[in-house]
Amino acid sequence: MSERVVITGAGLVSALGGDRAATWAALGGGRSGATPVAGFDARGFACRRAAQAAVPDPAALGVSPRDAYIMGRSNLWFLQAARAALAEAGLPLVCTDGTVVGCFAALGMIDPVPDDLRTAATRSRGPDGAFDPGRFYADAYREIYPLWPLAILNNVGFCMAATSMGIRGENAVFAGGADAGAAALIEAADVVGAGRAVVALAGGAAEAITPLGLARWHHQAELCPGDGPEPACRPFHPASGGVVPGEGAAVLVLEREASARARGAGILAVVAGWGRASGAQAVARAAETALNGRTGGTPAVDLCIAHGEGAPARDAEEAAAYRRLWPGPDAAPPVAAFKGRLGHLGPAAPAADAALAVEIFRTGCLPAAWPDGAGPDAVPVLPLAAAGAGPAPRTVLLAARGWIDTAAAVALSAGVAP
Amino acid sequence: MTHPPAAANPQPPRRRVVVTGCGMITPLGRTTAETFARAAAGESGIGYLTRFDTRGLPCAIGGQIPDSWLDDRSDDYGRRHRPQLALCNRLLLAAAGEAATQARLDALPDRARLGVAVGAHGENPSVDDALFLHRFTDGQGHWDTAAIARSGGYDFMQFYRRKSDLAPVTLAARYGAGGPNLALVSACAAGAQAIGEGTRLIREGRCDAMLAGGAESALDFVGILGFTLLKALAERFTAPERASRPFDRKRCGFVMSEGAGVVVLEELDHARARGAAILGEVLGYGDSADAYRITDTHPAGEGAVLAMRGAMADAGLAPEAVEYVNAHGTSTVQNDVTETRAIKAVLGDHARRVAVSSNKSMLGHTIAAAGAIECILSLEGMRRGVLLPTINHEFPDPKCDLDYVPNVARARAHRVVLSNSFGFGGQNACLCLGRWDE
Repeated sequence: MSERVVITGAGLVSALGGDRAATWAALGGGRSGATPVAGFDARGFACRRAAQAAVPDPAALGVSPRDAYIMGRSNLWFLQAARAALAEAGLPLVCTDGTVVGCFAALGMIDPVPDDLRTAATRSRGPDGAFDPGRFYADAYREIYPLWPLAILNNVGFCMAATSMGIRGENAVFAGGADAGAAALIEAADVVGAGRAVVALAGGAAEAITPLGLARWHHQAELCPGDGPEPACRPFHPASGGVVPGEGAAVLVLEREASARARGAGILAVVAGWGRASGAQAVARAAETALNGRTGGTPAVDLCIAHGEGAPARDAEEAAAYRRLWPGPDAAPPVAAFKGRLGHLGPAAPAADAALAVEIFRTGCLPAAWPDGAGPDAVPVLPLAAAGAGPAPRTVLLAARGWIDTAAAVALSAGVAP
Repeated sequence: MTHPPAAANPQPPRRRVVVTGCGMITPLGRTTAETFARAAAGESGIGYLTRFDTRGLPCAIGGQIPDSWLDDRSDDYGRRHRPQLALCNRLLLAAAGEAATQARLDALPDRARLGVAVGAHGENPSVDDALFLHRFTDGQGHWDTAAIARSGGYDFMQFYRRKSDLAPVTLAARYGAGGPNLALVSACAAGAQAIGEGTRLIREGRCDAMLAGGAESALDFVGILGFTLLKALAERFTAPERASRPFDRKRCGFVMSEGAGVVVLEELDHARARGAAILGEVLGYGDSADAYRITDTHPAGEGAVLAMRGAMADAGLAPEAVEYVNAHGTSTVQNDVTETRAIKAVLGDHARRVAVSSNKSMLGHTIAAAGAIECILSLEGMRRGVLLPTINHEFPDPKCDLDYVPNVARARAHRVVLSNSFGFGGQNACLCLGRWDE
């Protein structure tokens, strides 16, 4: 029999701060993480803004320069968030018995960095200065750093984190968008609930914004053009400019309620249910499963933190799913969405939303879905939750969509003090 | 503060998961039957690579699937979507087609209860792609992104072909699978993890059937180059077909291959109710992490031990119940020794009485597909009462001292198999499989 699973730690790294408290404070202050792309000249792209996170100091995370190269900044964020989550849960940063600790990670695609191949490419030039594949294949490739292949492995972030923290229990690495992040959370909850791990980390890391990565973003989402300071990504607003890519990571610590209580850990939230689906009506079906079918008439949740990426067409689809789920004028719970503030964190988004749900449970406050300046005339396609303080929600539904026709949902309930 | 101790693992009554369809395409054959027959005959699927110019590379061999085999196996869906499908996903569709036909999946009434879990890594960027970008950088970290945009430098179809999560989404679209959809990227453990995760989803009642497996095609310059730089590939051999020699003293690395394997997993009563033929049972699944070094496996195989013990505990079986181990057996110096140690640690004295063999001696290493292909070959072996051999086992290694079924397949009825898959970076998975006797 599966036992109740609770969240006892929640680490979040975002464009708004290097930890959950800083991110929450910035959200409360009305800030948006979206700024003109930094780090490279993005003038060639239609979308030139992103919510970029600061790169952590590898040494502060106990990561050697060699390992920092292998990990890249995306996986450093993952480690940073994981360590914060463990610390909040009151657990050691290096496991005393890693065999009972699981880890489920959702990680994005990794691109080769041209600079890694530069010397080899330069040595491959023929007499006319053009690249000569024959020279490259015959010899020049030996100039490439031998550990370069590790840096482009899809699972390297998990492996480095597991090694760093001594995690040896059940694990998986999922690929994809926000649905992959939800899969990580769901699998971790399942493993802990079934007693196959005492503690499990669950979360994801967004892909770093690079020239090639931003080029890919243009293919996988309807991005917000330009780089101006005006609020661009406004989830569920009919005039939203589109998606703003985000950077960062979020990791949760999950354990069984009895175990957490026995060791006096603070319970931040309870994992109350989950669902996954693909194809037609995936969002509605996933949510329905997460709520165990408790969707007719009155909502079974106080707040829905929607996927809400800010692309009008996709948001309208998602809104239609909620209307199908909660038919009737007042049946739907209020809806919140944070991608207008944090950017789209891809595989990190569900754990990030869960970390923010923890703050909503704790404070009863709700940040605005859109950055300041959204305009008083905004008429969202879905009734959005009013920003500000109020009665703290007790149950929250998180929704996550993949890039292609897949969706997942997780229901969280408020935790209680030990 | 220390981690709390593990609680006793609860043992709820659970749904049994059986296999009702198997499909594969490998360097040895277009189908499961063809692959198994050639493997039972001890044939090798390894040869010189012909798909790209390999001059200068220290390793220019692999298990390559002829293009004509794929053309034979493509259906309308595959042909229609070919431009956006990486080769691994075309292989996946071929394997899934065989499995779905065998399981009569088209007759499945409720597709909302059909899920998909696939281990795959998408298409590698080509060297040309990577070097192409040099035109747009000045060596000081500055990019001419306008020129990239003008050049169409990141092709839309390449974007699709590189995405790992396109594999399960493709199968879901092809078979109308509306249930959970998982993309696993756990390196060499991905295929076995996909089957393990699929098994759990069915056990928990979250779906009734799953298409689960793995696919890989990394026989390109970046794939070979990457493992060459890591010194993981076999570079010294007398002939390509003799290069993959797991547990042999003269082994010197693995041989890369491509392929795909897919099973249809189904809840037992669901399969019986629709009269599906049952090919075997997934009795247990275990997985673990080495947490040792990114470049090396734990010398005592501790991660492998955890995964195998996990699978046996999940199956509720003692070591004495295991009759055959389908080894990860990569033919690297390190893996084969540590895996041998791990098997001994898990099975104790019984390890001396258990047959252990490596399909990779004939197939090479199909990375994300390996766990799925080896799962299917294990099930076929139980059905036919055949232990597949470890070929090229000529010079016994004193550190690898188990019964590796050397060179010749062996007729032996057996009922319980452990199938190992240990991923680069330290992710380990083990499936415990059972013969089905009505």
